[in-house]
Amino acid sequence: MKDIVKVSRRDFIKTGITLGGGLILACHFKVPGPAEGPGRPAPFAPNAFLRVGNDGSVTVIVNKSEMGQGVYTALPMIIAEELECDWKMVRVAPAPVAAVYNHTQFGSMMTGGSTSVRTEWERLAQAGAAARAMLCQAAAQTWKADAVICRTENGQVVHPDGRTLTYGELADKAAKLSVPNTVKLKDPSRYTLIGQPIHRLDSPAKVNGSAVFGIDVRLDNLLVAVIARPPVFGATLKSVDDTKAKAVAGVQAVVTVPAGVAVVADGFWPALQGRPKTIGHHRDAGRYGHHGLDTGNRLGLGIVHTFQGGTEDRRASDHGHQQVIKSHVDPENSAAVDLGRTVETVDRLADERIAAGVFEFYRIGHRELRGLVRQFAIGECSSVRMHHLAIFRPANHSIGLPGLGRRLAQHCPGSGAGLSQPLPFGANAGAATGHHATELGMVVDGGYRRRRHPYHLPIAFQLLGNDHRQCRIDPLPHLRFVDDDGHRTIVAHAQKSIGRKGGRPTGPFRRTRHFEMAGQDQPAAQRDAGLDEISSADLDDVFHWAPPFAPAAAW
Amino acid sequence: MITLDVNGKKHKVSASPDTPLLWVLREELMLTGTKFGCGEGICGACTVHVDGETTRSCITSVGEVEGAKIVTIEGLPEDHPVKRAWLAAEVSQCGYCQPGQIMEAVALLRDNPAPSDSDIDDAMSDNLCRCGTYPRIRKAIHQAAAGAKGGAQ
Repeated sequence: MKDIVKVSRRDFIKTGITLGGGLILACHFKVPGPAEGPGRPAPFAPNAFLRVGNDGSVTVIVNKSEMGQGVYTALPMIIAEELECDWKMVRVAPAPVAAVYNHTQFGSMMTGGSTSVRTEWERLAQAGAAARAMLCQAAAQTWKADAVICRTENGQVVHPDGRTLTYGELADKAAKLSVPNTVKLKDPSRYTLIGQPIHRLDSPAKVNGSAVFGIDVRLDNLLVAVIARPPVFGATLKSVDDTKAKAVAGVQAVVTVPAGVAVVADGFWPALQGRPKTIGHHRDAGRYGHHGLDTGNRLGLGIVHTFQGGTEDRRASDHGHQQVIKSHVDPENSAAVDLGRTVETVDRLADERIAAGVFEFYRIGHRELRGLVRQFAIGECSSVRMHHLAIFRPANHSIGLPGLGRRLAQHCPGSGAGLSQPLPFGANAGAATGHHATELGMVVDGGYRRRRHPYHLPIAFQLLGNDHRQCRIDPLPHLRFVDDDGHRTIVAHAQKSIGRKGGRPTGPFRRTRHFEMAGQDQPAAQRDAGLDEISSADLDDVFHWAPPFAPAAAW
Repeated sequence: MITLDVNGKKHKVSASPDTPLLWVLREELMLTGTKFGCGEGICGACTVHVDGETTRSCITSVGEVEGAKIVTIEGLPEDHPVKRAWLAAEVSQCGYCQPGQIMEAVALLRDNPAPSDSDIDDAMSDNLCRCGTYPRIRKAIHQAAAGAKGGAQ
């Protein structure tokens, strides 16, 4: 069932993380369950890494994206509990992208579905226990004693006579030992860490500004690309006039990608300047295409970093194929590297979920929401059929629902990787890191907003619910979703800013509109009728004023 | 060349005067704690202090702030009461908006050392948080206010 192996420093470095000496453990753990059928070899999904440094530090490499859900704290706790180390010495490093870090159930490297703790628990506990056993063994050898007499606490091995050796002192010795075949896990009644409230490991960096998000990643010869997306869901590009964009100082290239037109520049600012100067003409998408054809300003903010001259990058020669670099803290900003032709996103299912979510938003039907979603979704999922309902659940909630698809950002590495291919910097230059700033509910397109409703700004909304028609209220003051006898009633709220006085908007507001949505079995014509009715609704009938801190309880 | 006074240090920057301060901070001075959110001065992720006033750096050109004292999240002392309160209340989730939130809160508490809930709501309503950390932001501001008061006694 379990196979814990030592990882050579070289192997470890090859995966993209550089660590010093000490004890490094990888846990290879067979996936249990249906995948393990007769005649079908069970896949191995090894993924967790642990390092005990000579200085006593314990570095846990987390293979999940920290998006605020606390996984950078929860997963290290599992290891630390079994390892009996000093929690103050626990550090977190983001896992590089490699198959060993794949999700044990889903087979790709992904974070979602509230699966992180439940799927990682056993192998992380095993890793912690194995490391502890090896450290005990190392101490016993030093003392010429039997390991069974040793106990561990707070990052040290304790001899019955009171002598102690710290994990840091034992790390190198332990690394030379073989990994035990079986380890005994702690009885939960002996847990001292798990179950206790604890401060998050990621908070200090987020509070002092040093946290590295995808947008903060700096690499040599980094270029930045901003994507001009089609104005209408499903539209395809007919032609591009890039003369003005290319005239912007710092713009290096304008290339067509499936998501739209990418303006590639020396930095964000020239790229952002160049983007609205890119004039794209699009084939209208028919049913959803009631807007003009010029791309102009109505563009989402999919942002992609890319290298120039990536052939000299060591990673390119080491791997020769695509690799995804996850940002250190990965909220909305996933990063991707494409070193070859293959494109793989961190989360292969993201596009589909996004498309499903887009459809849901279409069905919400408010023009502004539709416009907002349109920008963020276009291109990324235009090839996905939108025929079923699915609803995003934000990870942020106080009501006990699991989080899923909150960030919607992990598809962006796909954009980055895809963009790297048509870049005019050489065949193997395509190393790209993707940054996704078009967040659901975070960024809206200025051009669209200005053109349609100069003062109306729908921002920061999230949907909550699941496909079992169990819909709850999102604590965010912008949108809520309630279950209504099997029908879904959506109450849409939007904030808007009205002008600015002294640098502040004059005030947010809340307006509310209810309408019903039936489930998946509703005839298409009925859905379309609802859509038309909603899309013709006037904005002012839809939103009502509210303070931004309006607690969910007030609704 | 424009000379900027950022976090107490003078920097000569090569950006043209119409370049937004945000991009000079992030890409020339490598102070990446200040975030890009909307690019239109609406979300507050890019908030910095310019001569003590909260300013949206994404819509403020460097030409406008030459000679002014600019403070970013990196310029706040590690033991700043607002930062300590932020940690104590565990405000952050994804954390992307928090540097802007903190800069806004610091300015609020300077102007109003004992803000009420509605004072806080009013002052902070321009800083958006997709994670919905607003209740904890409010709590942390109250904590910081109480801590500062306690420290003075």
